[in-house]
Amino acid sequence: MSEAAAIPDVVPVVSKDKKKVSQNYWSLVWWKFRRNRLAVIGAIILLIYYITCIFFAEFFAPYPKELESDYLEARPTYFQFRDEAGNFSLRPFVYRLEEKIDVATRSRVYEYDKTVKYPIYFFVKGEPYKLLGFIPADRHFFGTDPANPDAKVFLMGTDKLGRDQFSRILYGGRISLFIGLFSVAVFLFIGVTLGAISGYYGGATDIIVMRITELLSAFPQEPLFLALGAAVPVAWPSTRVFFIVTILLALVQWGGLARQVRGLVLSGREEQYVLAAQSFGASDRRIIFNHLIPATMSHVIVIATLKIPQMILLETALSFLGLGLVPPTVSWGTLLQNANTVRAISFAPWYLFAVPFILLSIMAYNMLGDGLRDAMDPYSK
Amino acid sequence: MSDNDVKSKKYDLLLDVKGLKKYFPITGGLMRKVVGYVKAVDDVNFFVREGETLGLVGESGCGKTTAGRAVLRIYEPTDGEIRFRSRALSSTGKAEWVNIRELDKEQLKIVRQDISMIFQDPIGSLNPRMTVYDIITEPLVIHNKMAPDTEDYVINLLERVGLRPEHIRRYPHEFSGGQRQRIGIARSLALNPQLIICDEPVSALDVSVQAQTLNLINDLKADFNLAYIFVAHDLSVVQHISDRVAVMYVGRVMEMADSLELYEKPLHPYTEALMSSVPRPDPRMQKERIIMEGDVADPGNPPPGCLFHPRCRYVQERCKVEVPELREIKPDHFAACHFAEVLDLKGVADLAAA
Amino acid sequence: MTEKTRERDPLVTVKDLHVEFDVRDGIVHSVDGASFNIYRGQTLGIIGESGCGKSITAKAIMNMVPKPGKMRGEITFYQKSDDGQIIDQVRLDQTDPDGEIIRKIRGGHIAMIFQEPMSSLTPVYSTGFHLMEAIKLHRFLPVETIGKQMTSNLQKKRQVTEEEARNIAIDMLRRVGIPNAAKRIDSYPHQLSGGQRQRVMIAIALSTSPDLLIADEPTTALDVSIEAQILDLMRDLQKNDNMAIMFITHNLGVIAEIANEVVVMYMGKEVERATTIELFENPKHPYTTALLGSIPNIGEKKSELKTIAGMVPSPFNLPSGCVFHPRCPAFMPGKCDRVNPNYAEVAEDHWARCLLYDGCWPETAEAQAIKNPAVAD
Repeated sequence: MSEAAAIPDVVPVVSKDKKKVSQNYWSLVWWKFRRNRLAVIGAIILLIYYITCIFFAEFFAPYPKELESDYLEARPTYFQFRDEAGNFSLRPFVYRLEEKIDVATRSRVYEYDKTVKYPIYFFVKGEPYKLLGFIPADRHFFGTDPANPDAKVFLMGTDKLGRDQFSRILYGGRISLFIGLFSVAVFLFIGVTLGAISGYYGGATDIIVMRITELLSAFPQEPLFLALGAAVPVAWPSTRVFFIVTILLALVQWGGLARQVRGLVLSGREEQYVLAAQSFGASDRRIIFNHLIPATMSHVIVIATLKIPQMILLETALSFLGLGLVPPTVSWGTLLQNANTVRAISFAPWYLFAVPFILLSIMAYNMLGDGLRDAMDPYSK
Repeated sequence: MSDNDVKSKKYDLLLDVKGLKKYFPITGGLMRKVVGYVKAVDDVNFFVREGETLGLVGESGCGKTTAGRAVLRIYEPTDGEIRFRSRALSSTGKAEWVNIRELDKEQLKIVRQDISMIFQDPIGSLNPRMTVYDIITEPLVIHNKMAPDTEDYVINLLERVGLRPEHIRRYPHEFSGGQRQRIGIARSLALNPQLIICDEPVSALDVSVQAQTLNLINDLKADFNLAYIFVAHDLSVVQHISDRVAVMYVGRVMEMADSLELYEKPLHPYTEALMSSVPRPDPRMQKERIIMEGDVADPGNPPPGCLFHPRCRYVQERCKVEVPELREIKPDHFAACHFAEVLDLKGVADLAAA
Repeated sequence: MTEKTRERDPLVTVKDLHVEFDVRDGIVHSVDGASFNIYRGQTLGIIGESGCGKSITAKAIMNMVPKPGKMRGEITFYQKSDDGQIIDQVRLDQTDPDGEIIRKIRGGHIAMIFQEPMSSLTPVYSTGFHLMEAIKLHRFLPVETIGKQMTSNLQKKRQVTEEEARNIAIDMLRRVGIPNAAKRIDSYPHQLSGGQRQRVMIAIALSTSPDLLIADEPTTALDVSIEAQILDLMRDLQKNDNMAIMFITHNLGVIAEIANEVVVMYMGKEVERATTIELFENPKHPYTTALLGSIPNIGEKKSELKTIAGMVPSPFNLPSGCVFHPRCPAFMPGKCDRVNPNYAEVAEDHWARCLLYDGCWPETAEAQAIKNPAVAD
């Protein structure tokens, strides 16, 4: 009998911190990812966003998004911990707003009335809502005393109709973040499929697909997007508009992804394991879907993760300009519409609170995407 | 040709390749017109009998890899006949002759149960994202041969190639080069083929692992009733493992004979020169080195007449114009040289003066 | 010392070389105590399989060990004048890896060629550019001779001009056998075949007339006929220029052809050293014997190749005692797995690291007790 049977087992690599390096490619990726502090922070931030905005916006927002009040374009009432007399209270409170007329401009402004304090309670009863769309509830994360109808808290001010901006930002985040995800899903589907087919078959298919992507990239992206957005009929119901905007976002951008995937498939096609599969009679479909596309996954995931913030920004731009999503739909873009005049910014600067929200989510996505890319790169330490 | 038929024991024949050609077009100019061809394989003839190992040896660019892959139609041949006695395609249960080149897609897929391949790169030939089990069963899945006892079958195969049952759940990167090559071998056995084409299977392995792998390949031959086409550039390895050897140069077969006879008494000047170049692990041996001047001929621009003539030390006028045919000079010993009968060439033993 | 060794003139001596890499999973001893000499005009072959540390040894001599590697040991380079006087002794291990001294030696006195000629040549520069770069850096022509008694080191030297460099380059190409050298000098690497590129690499290495050429698997990627030509070329150049060669490979046939003396490495350790003939005829270490038995020798039909059982161990999980013992056909239980053999001269000019030989047993009481169990109570 030959020596063949006597091969001892592979010696597992035991690292210094006594952790056995896991076998699966994805566990290796996860392990590397965890060590990148920025990426983990980004992931946590995004998790917070998703929890507060998409799933539990109703819980975290003190007021429903359409609720109007008498405080029109009122300044934000920030949490206070120390009152005029210098007393410190652990429980935050807000001052009442007093309506005054500004002598110089003859417009209405609101000032703090430091004599009246409204304490903030947590897990407080408020307007009823349906959690996750079907569980009836009425508790909110924070709010003022429900027994006192005059007590209001506007963490980020109100708009012309007296609606609490903070609540609306959270609801707006739901739409904007969701559009980001959804449009990237469509973007991935179109881009990966067309890119893979183009790369694998070459010839006429390749030429056609590539010319289309070139055509698309020849148009300046944002004006193209705006033009398409302007073509959306104003009369359409908001859900339909929502879907159309999502698809538009994907349609304008898939070219870049298709090119990348095509390149990856072109080189992946020459790999010996693909040749091996061919030698066993694997069909083209099997090779593309079971071998080539999974090999592109690490790149594609990174592209997708970095694409989401771009989509969010594009949607924001579109809505800001009054195209695509329009009020009463609440998205970050439509919220920012309030901030599109100098008058607005100088007299009611709290409209710009939406901006750091957007920025932070974009940054978090970028950190996550960078971390993912480093983790997936087989050559990085 | 009937003489040859008898001598090659036609009833024993498994694969008979005649006139195999694979040309790759060279495009040039704005309109991508075809300006020439790289004649990677140009009129190659060889045959393999049941249970034997045919070595295909030659230097880079000689077309051995292309020829091996063309047999399976992984590269679509430009011309030629690839006759194979297939079990899978036969309706009677006995193997029947088919011409692989004439098969349609369905039939081609079926015949790939009979012929499988082992590749050179132990890292690249296994999909890093698939477990060993997935890799070995992929051929079974493709041909709808999965069964409830497949896992046992795979474990059996793994043990046969010297791996252990627990390796079934592991990923390729957890194995050494030699072990990965064994996984590749196990995979090629999954469908119980008649012929395995080995495409430089040991070239990327360390010396000691090479020996293990070669022994394994040899052992499996008897157990699984296999024939091999062993493509390699290392002459010593090829001679060791093959029963017969075909020497290729720039797309043509220069010589084909029983492996010991080839090395003892070659009939083609290229074979003679090639063997004198092989470094021998014997420091006392003073070899006579037959220098081949210049570089290997360019398959995109081959010399006229005999491909080897610019480097041949026995070159005559005839060699520069007339392409020599692969002729049977002695029983079962073929050579493509006009002067094969008259040249007295030195074999491996003669080249070494002790 | 025999007549032979007395004639031999050391050029580079390596004593107790250690190279360690501290990676997250542990410390890897890439080279663990290598000691050998390279003599002028002679070829030292280093043979071993992947991971045995032979490439790192070559890099260590040039003080080019990549980070995070740490090197220690003594590497001494003896620089000689034209008439054979030793003018300088440089401790290569102590030079600054980026400093002037080592950079003058690299390329000037010690040249190196690698396995993949394509990746060693920049594709955007012509062959001539590569050659001339090396020539201009290291070649100096004497301006005047200040008396014949003075050694050449004291002569005033000037750098070569562009034209002179080009002529030297064309000459080098001719010497390494590139046809049509005057035209080929302007060609680009991708226009040359593998064998030609390797010749260009050799030409670059030799253009400065180095004292030592370190060749790291130079012919592994080449066809056998080209390999033969390159080996012949190296032998010729060695004869004409009295150049020493350190030839690293895993191919025993090549070693037999070109080396005068051979070092066998396994897992970073030197396990055997002897002259080539002695090594092939009387191998002392079981690893060497096994290696010799596992290669197919053309012209002999063996029924089965002798294999070396098992696999190369993980560098983080080295076996106890002798590092080869799990795979050794001459394994002595209770001894080889407990005692780490020393490297000792077991026959004339023949060194080995194996407990089969008395001289390799360490002098410690423990080891002696294991060696002679009869002394136990």
